Amino acid sequence: MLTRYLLDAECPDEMVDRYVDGCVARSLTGTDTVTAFVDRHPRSVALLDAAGALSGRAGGLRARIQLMAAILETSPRFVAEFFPAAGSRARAMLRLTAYGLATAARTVIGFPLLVVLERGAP
Amino acid sequence: MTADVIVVGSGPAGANAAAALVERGRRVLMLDVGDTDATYEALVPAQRFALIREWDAGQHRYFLGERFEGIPDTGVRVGAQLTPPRTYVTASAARLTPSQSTTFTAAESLALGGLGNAWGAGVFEFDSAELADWPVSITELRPHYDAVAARIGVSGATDDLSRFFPQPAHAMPPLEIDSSADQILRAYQAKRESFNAEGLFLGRPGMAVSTEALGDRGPHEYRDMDFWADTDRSVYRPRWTIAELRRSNAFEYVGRQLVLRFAEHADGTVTVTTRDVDAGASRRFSARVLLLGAGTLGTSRIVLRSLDRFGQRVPLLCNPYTYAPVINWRMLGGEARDRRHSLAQLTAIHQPRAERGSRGSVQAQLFSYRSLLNFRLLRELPLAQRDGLRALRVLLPALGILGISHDDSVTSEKYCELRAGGGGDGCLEISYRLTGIETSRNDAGERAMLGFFRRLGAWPIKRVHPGHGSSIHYAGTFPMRHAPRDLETGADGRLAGTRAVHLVDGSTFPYLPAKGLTFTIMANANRIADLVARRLA
Repeated sequence: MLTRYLLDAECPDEMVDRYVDGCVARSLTGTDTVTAFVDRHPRSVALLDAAGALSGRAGGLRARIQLMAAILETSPRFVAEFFPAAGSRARAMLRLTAYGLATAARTVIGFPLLVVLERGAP
Repeated sequence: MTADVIVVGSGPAGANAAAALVERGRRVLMLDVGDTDATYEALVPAQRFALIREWDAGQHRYFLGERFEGIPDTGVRVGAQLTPPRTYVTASAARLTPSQSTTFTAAESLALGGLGNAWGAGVFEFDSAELADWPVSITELRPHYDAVAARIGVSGATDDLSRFFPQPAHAMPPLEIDSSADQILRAYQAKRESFNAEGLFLGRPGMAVSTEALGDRGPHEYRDMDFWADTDRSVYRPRWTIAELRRSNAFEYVGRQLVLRFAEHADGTVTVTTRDVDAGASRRFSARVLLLGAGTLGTSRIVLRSLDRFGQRVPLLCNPYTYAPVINWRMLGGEARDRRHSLAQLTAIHQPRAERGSRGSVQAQLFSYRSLLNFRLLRELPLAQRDGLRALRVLLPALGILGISHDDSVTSEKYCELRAGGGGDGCLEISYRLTGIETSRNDAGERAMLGFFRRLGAWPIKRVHPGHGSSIHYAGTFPMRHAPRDLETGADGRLAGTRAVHLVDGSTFPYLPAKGLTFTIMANANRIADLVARRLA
């Protein structure tokens, strides 16, 4: 689910195993309300990650996403997705603006959801 | 072997003091813990970063670490150069040489080669203004800078920084810089006269990196793997010197020994007591002279413990350090050369008051980021990580990290003391606070430096203050004086009140300029070893 979110790709089994090992090594095995919600509703990961980025919350979820990104980045199969993307300066500015707007748009929905989930936490 | 001199520590100070002694015919016994990397060195291929990324299916083992220790818990902080293959450098220090502080984070090393295994390799001479508090002049120190440069291999350019850092004799050609630094340097050169009039200077730093073959080292291969491995051995590491010394009959290395204390005896010998860090057994070693090069904090522990000065405060210096990610807008959307190194690309100086010389100036070093990998930055960005990942692909050629250093002087708010505890060895307690004047002066210096880079097209994104101690430049606990008093040292590094105990590391520096101190530590250790060798002769 995280590989699909990050790269629109399917995750090979050996990388799933590596992710599980990483969660154990980094003490990310516990399930908080945000992570549990994402497990039940995978499409919400983009909303909650965006909300966490701008609010400094959802640390557990964001740590898991970062772990998956690290595993993908250090795999020859996906490394091209992390190499610099050349283009014109104007195109670069447009892209950066688009990414910023995308995060902002997701946050509009994600932040209220995040607040509700965190209030519901035991 | 019966040693003339015991040298404690194998870092930049110990290695270069030992080398100078052996070159002058003295017999040297080196005592050291000597941790080494048993996991990663053999895993990293001797190839370019970009190529490794494309084919090595096992790269996650060294890029992330076998225990995923390469993934930061909280964003990128100073010490990012301590990648998984470098974590052995500081791994056992917290257990074997404990320190406590609420205001200071100390990084120490008990590795073979000490913190020199992870230093930035910047080569910066101190000038006469910066040596004003020393009982040693630049004229006395210069031959030792040159001797160390010849031993370790130094490369550098003649440019606007030469007035601050004269090139040592026999300097090799400078390292090539990356595409972004190249553009920034050209922007500077177009307006250099007006920048210089404001006390702003930019150039390529001298580096302890062999750009030509030097024995079995170098030349530098531009693999951009300098944070991960030393596959071409071009960056100077003190352990190269130790390996050479071990081929000499006049040198003996005894590892796994944590030095606890020394004692001088009426027969003219010095005894050093150690503990074997594996077996726990206590051992004693004797010689005519003792040189302590255990690093400022390590040497402070040994001296205070040996003199039974528990609870006695001694001063502590450390360069205040701030870093700032910067975006070079000219590189946005551009394509960067793959051929590059990971070390400092450019050095900038802000010298606000010309009448004071270099004293009080601010120094910054610009690093390119690429080889530290994108994932480390994902949680630093105000973006969902899916968007952050894509944004980094656009930003990467333009992204640099600017590390800004300030000078440091003694005040009553910066000190350390050895407290009872720590398994009987004592625990070093550190207190470090800047005065209000120092804080505002440093803040003004940072603003001026960031403004300088902004005018060069490199826009700072934010300033990060990683906390006191993060420069890992520690000094000043037993300052050198013309007439040393209690817990001070003389011009020959000899500790006041002792007959033959000399300190050869940063612990004797009375003042820390805003620049790397390692080259000067090595030159000063070479100088003191030279004096000791002459006396023994």
